[in-house]
Amino acid sequence: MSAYSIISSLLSYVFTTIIYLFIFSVIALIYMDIKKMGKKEKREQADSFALKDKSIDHYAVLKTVKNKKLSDVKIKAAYRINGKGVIIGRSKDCDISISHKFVSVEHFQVWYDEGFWYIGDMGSKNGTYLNGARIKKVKTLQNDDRIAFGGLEFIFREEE
Amino acid sequence: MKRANYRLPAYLLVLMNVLGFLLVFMANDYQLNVLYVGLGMMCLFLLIYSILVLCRMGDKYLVLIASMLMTIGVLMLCRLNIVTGARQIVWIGIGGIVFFATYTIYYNIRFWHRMWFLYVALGIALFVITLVFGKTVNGSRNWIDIGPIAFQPSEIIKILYVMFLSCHYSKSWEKPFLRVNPMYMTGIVTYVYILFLMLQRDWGTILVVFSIFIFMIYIYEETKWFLWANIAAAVIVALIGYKFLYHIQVRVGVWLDPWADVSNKGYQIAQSLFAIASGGYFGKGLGNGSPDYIPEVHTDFIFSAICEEMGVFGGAAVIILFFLLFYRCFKVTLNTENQYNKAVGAGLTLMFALQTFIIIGGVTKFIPLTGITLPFVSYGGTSIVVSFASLGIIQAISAIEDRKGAEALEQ
Repeated sequence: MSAYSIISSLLSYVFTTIIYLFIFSVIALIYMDIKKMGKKEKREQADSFALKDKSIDHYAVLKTVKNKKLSDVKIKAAYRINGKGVIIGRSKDCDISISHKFVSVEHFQVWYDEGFWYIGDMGSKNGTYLNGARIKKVKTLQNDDRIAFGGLEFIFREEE
Repeated sequence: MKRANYRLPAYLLVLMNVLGFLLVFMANDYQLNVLYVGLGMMCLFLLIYSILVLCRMGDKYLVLIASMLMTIGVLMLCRLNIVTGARQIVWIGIGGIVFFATYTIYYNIRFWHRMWFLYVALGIALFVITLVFGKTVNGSRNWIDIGPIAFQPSEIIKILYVMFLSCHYSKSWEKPFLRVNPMYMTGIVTYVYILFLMLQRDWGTILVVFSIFIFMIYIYEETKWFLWANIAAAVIVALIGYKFLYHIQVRVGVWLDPWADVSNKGYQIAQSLFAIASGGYFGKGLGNGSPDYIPEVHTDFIFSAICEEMGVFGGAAVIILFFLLFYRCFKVTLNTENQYNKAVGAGLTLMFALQTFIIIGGVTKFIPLTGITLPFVSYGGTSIVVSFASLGIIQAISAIEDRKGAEALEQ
């Protein structure tokens, strides 16, 4: 047995140890990362719960305005919405899902916060119009406001 | 809480490299060139890792784990044949450059999801070029020679294919093309690719591409019958292949019973099993075993050689390292909010994972053997460079997400 093969077989133990130490040190780092992220997520969750609790008692109604286009779209006469926020769009995951070709996947959202109702466009292709004017980002909603999107129209009314 | 020690794994990586290359240095009659080459590779790994950590370029662990895998692979290759090992290190150097290039390109261009047509066109162009100018190696016509370098276009096609699928699954491509629904288009393109790969007789890539397709449908497609139809098609194609193609019959026959024709057809897999068995727990030590008996030991069968000379623990460590790598890749994918990046991340991770499963399963006789490379470990220029490129894309995806999170915190 030459000197090389003796050294080599001894080193095989060393190599195995080094590789496993490496694996454990990486796992330790990843574990610490996850712990940090878990804490952050919990905080965010608590924040969003606090927000929801306040606005959950507020309700409003979106009444559909009848027009010719409605014949080929499945749409209810009115939607009762909750203050914690609803998303209106074509996707099945939306709170109010309207399968119509001029409605974007996630078209716009309506929510309540600290005494006011808000409407926000979610980057829709054909835009969302409040009383005839296209909204860029976020606008407050008043009673009897008309929300037009993709050829359809809602009337907003707050519930007491 | 203990402070995160980002240096410890890097130190261990350096220790592994120093000891490993001293050993290779001894085995090669004390030629100083070996030490220079090893030093070069080690510096490359440290450079990439420190750039990633200091410049906050996303996930820190991907490259670290890949470096360890490459160290194990290169030590094994240097022990098998010092010339192959040195060439592999050159490829790793090129791979490092490609890694940062892909990172920068992917990070800065934001319209990847609109170019599905380009991906298909490039993929088919590469296929046609391979068929016309290709060169046959080991029965597969999948190599192209450009001057001094030869490369396998099918490796690049895999990345393009994942990016193409992601266009559909991120819902950024919903318009029918020539009145064909995108869902059917993905199917048509997949089967056209498989046809091309069949003409090239590149069975390993067929398996990878088709498995990526099935898994992506499973993850994303809402129409369930499409999944079952494709699985049925796969089974039918496999059965027809088994019935009419001698090559596949041999592979399955050898898998079922390698001892029936051990001196001829079953020779490779039998030698691989002998090698794995003779290693023991800690292995015989680098240079003490005889992995040269296995044909193709430097590419497809490198895992058997690792098992022989670094032992079952060494082999298990390689598998654990791969697990950690895939875990991190999936983590990056899950954290991403951009739908296109999410789909690309999932697809590339699947590509790594399937390739690893197919080849490690193959050499340990867990599934029938198909020749593909083990990412980051096997010898192969294209394989290393393309693995680096995919890693660069995943790194860019994690960096995009990190940057977004940091901006949100500042506001």
